[in-house]
Amino acid sequence: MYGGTPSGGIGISGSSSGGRAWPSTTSVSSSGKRIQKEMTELSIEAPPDCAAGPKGDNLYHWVATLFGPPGTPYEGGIYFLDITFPSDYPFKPPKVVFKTRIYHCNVEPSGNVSLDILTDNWSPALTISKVLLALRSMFTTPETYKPVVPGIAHLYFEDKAKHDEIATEWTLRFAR
Amino acid sequence: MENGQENHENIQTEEIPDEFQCCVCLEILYKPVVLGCGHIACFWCIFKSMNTLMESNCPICRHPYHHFPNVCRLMHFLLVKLYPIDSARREKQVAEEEKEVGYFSPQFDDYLSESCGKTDLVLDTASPHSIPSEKCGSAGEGEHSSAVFPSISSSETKEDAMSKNLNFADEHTSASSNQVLITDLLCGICKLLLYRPVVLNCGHVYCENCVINPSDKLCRCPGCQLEHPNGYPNVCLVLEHFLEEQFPKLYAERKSASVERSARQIPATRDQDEAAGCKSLPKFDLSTWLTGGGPQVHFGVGCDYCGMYPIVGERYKCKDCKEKIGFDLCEGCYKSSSKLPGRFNQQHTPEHQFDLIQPLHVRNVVLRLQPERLEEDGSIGLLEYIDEDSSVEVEPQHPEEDSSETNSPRDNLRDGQAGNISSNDTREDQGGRESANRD
Repeated sequence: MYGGTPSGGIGISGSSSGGRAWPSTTSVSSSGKRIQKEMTELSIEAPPDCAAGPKGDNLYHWVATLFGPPGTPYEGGIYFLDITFPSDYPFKPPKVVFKTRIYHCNVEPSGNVSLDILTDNWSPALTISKVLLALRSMFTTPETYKPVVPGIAHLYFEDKAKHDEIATEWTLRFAR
Repeated sequence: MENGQENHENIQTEEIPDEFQCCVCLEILYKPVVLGCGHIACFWCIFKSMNTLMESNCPICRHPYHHFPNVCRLMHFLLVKLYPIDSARREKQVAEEEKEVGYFSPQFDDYLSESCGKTDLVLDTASPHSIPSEKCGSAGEGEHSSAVFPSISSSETKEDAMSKNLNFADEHTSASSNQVLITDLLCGICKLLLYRPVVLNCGHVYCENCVINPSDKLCRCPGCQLEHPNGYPNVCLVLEHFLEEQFPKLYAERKSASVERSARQIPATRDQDEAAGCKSLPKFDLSTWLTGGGPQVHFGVGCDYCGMYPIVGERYKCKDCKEKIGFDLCEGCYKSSSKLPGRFNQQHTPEHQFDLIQPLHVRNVVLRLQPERLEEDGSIGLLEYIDEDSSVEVEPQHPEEDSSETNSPRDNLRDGQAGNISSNDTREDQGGRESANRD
């Protein structure tokens, strides 16, 4: 935390009054190293139907591609996601946003994903490859009890056939 | 460690098995600490992933813990021995990072230190008789000596051992130096090969059966007398697996022997004891604390003896320690007579004086948090205000509408630092209401 944030006055105020012990410190370089490691790991073996890598020169901005798993209304769809790593990654979760429109009760119309491991339940032991796996399983089993789009979850319960129909239509319209 | 990390590959370095890979930095474990649940990560990785506001959770299993463990020296020296090149690389890399930040991890200057490793090494290997007579009294040194001893006792000359260790420092490796000896992996109590090793919060390793007494609710390290918090530690499976692989015969012997013994000793009630131990944890409820009724919490401050982080209860700060990180003790450790080194290589001596520090009043923390700060980075925002003096003007400027954005406060506060931003929100909100009520 000391490197990236100019406001990180940890040391300054720490030595001045009272003194702070045990501050939180995350170096930007260490987050970069970790992202690089994940990148090589992903290039060796990516989870099924997934791909991810940096967008350009910036290591902290990635693009991921998810293929709609067979047997779901998302089958045949190709979904692009933006992944943004915070400077204190992996101690803070990455931000994941769907760039492709998707009819799913856990994805906001803006593309933001509501996935517990990307917010409250983040753990530094999680990696992008695990996040992608979680997203993949979100395709097969939507988390209908914690929807961000309650309407879609409601339809899922009331009339699954209709829900799947709309989702398939969206897949054809937006994700091909 | 985790099953997912199968394909860690390091070009131009040794091949590190997954179990010796840190789950956080995905590198070889460096200065490993072992949590009560038995999971391992690097010293800094665990420290950085700890929650400054309340109990933390294991990155792997989310097992809650409140105490930052000490580095497990036995494992550290084991890894250094097994993977000298990568360990040296990590040592250099971490040393650079530490220099940049100004906070330091414990330096094992009795064996190898970052700055003057070579001279120390020579001294150490040249005088293998500097082993403490009372091994139990200083288990840490016991382990350290056993890490030095074997290379000598195994029919090698001193020069051999020396050159090997120096080789490590020079980033060269010889095949024989990778050999792990039983003497590296002895239990400090029974002096036999570790069986079902548990790593206590102080970093010392013992057999589960040696250190855990089912009739006793507490688990205290026989070496440094530090109490292991939060019930009994779990067996460190990574270490156990390593032992089993390295010494299959001996480990099987140990196994059969202890099966006989445990049949007599019955640690059957273990689970209940464990539960009881967990309950005795000084649990603090943030909601009572917010209303001023609960115990004092010193956010972002840890005890340098027992590792409690954040300190709950009284906080004693050393007046004489000049290190940037400071030296603090919790009430229990201040009153105990133990004399241990600080967790961050502070040069603390028993002559140093302590100040009793009051925690920052909740309303000051709360009101100093500006909304724009919150947007930037919650954790730093909060941390930054902790140490500022409490002569803060109390202005009623907390937007009540913030509550609409926040989720359940408990949820936010349960998780790691990830929740800091929103938990700050919550606190601001609650504090706001609190002061509004008072007005």
